[in-house]
Amino acid sequence: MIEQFTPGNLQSSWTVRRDRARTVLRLRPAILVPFLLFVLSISINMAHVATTEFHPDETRWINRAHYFTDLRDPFGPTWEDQYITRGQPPLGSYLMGLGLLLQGRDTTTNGVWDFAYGSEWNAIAGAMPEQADLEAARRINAVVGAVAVVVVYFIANALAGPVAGAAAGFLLAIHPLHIWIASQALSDQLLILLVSLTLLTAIRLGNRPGRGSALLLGVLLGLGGAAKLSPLLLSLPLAVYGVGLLVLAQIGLANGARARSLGPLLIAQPTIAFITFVVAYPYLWPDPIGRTWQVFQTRSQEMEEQSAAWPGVAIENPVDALTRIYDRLTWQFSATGNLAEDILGWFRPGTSVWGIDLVLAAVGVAVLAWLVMHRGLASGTALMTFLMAGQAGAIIVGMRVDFYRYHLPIALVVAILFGLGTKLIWQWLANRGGARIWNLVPGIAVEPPVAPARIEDRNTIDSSTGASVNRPAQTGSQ
Amino acid sequence: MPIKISAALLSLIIFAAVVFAAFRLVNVVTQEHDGWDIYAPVDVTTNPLLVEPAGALTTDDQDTLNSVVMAGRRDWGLPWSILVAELPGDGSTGESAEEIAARRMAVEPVESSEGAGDGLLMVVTVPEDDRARTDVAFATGPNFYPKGGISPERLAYIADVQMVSLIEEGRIGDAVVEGATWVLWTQLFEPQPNPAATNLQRGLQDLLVPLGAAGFALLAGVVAASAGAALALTLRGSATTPDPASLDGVTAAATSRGRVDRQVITGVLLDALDRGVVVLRPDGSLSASPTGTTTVRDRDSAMLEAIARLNTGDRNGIDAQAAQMRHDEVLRHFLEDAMATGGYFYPGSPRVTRWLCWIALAGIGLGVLATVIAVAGDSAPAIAAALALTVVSLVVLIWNDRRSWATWVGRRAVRDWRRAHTSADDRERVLYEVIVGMETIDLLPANASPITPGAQPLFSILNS
Repeated sequence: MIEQFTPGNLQSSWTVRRDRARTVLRLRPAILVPFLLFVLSISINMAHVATTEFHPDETRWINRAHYFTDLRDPFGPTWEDQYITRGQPPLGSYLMGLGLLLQGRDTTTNGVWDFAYGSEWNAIAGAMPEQADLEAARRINAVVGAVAVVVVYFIANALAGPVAGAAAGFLLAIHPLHIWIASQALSDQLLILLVSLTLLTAIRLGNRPGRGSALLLGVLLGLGGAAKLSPLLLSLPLAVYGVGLLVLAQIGLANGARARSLGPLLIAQPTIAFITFVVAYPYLWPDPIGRTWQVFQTRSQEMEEQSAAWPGVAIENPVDALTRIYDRLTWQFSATGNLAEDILGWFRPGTSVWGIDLVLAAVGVAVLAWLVMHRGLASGTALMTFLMAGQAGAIIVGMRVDFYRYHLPIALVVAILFGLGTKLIWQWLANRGGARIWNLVPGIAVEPPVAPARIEDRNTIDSSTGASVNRPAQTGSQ
Repeated sequence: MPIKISAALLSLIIFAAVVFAAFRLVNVVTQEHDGWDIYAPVDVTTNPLLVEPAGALTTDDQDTLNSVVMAGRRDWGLPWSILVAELPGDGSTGESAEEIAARRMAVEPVESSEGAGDGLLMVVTVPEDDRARTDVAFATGPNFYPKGGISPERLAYIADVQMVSLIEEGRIGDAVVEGATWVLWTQLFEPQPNPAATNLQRGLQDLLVPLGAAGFALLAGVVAASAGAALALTLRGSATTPDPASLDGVTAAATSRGRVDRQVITGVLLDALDRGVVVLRPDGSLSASPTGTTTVRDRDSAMLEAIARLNTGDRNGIDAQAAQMRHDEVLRHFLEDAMATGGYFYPGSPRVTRWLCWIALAGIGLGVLATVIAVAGDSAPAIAAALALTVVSLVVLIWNDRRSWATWVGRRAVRDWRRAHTSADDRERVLYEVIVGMETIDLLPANASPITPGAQPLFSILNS
């Protein structure tokens, strides 16, 4: 016999979420928490804008702010085949230009910093930016970094609920590497913002496959490429993932309907991403494929030259890269370590504490793996995990020099995994001694498990409609 | 035209583009490269530095200048040489630096190979009696430009401005090193001047600005306006006012989803199974209930006819049957007609959707073509308009494929129905929620799913 449908469990699932007529405008944790995270992050970032150490790389990004206004002349001198235009993709420069204009500055800034000479020579040559330009450019990054924190909240929230989201967002907001780079005029914050938006879109696409989400994902990958190249390459393994899903669905290892709707959308990603990349970069227009190849070649060659120029920070292989990442994110840039040192420093100055960011992130890896197995390879969780692993893998494999800013995307991944690990521990603690004791704030608490409803009566004929109607005799603890 | 044919056309276009791109990529990757293309090392026919007489510059200055010139040749692909000549007198008579540069370049050209004509000669003349009147000039071969950011104006700036202060101080060696360094810096860091427009580019620019750009922008407006018109027509609907008594879970869900899509048809089948109109036979196939006691609606009759149309020789399990029914156009059209008759859907929606699909496809095709023409013509306004046309058309195509066919009155009727059916016992409301949220029901935990655990396997089969 076919089981009848039961309406018994719908109270919590649809009455609050779906019935808009009953929505009341009130301060909800789902809005309050990300808002507080944004305020926290931007406050910290802005506080460091005036004090963070100057890095010559900042002058290059400020110098290229004119790229934004030069978009009006996409065939002008700025976009000819030359070292500066080929050396870095333009999106970070667009952001600089837009940000300067919004703050009342213009895009005519300093000259190009020549790293063959020291600060004094470059200052005389006009390569040092004005202090007002430098601070304005840094403020742009401070805002971008704070937005990235909010997006990270939504990612972890989508995976495992608001506790995970709050933990992930908080960790990133206080992460010393994130704060440092968010108070410098570089393009790495834009990269992690785009990467985090990509991850969030991947979750949505995987859960509800649709052309709009697929188009948005491809556009974000293309824009990520226009910021820092590596996200563009992620579109290729995504296409392979789509093919893999279709194959697995054929042999019954993946949900067939979901795989058939998601697979083709993933296969189209390289095309969408590449078109977006080209459209965003006028330098590529005369020869999209040839010049794209040149851009990647130039970048690869520069990494090799940096590795040769700074042998002390050269990275020989991916294992070496992993070791460097561990050292950096445990001893030099650890949010939990810094926080503990600050607190313990009130009592005993100079205390050095081993940070547990990576430990909880390792727990988060296990949680994420479990979620992927539970939700399936064709789910949004699996798609996001694949992308996140791809981004981290690209950095680990491609890193040739141990520059601090190259670790920022890894810090992003650590923050998300940290959130998942925290959620697991929170759940474990909450299941001991009653859940209510941990219900500190509505919306960031452990909800007691809901007992499933059961049908006692079946097929009672409703004489008024002529249809059979379910009438549950008992419902769960709603 | 059915949506699947337009998808096939789009796929064909994308496939052609991908094949072309693949060939081009292979060509690019297999091409021989020597360092950075724009900065391949060069050998030059002349010595890097000539000092006449040899004592005109100190040994240290000469060593430094040799390094600078060789770095330019080796690292930045600049074929150049420097001549420093000490002249008798105070520089008021005799050849100027410019004349000397032109003569030396004609007699012994600086170039990467014989006949290349691609070199640069920097000449510095130092009057013996008045070193402050040191003069600087540059001579280039006929094929020297373009060379990074170097231009005649910038070379003149180096000579007339950037070297002047050191020359006035009598520090000739330092001034020449300074000037040579600025030449390299200019090549690397100044933007390269645009080459002159070709005849084709000039012709296209005349055509594209303003007519072409205006035309592309107008087409984008037409596509957007067509989408707006489709939306307005749909919302206005027909004169029929929905009857609240006819509104049930399936009708409300179809109105909310905006289409009679696979989820709605699955919901119709689920409803029929739940009410006992359709039963699952022991062999796993669907059939009408043998008892005939349950009330059969018009929708149920259409469902039963669809079941009867299933290929009797190929009557597979319920999953295959459900899949066939979801592709049954007769059933779909019946349901759509019922929605239109009831005032929930705009009756002309299929025709409007087809037209809008063609308009959007035409917009995409024209937009891509216009973009290519605009790039060939180096016309920024035309590119902006062409991109706008392409993007707007693409967005309209995607939106049109999924847009709602529900009328304004239909949506209001469903809104009122939802407000009136809020009880967790309400079967029709349950059915509505199942259909509306069908894509993500399987992601819900068991205790939050509207489907009982026992019915989950059947639901999964029907929804696969």
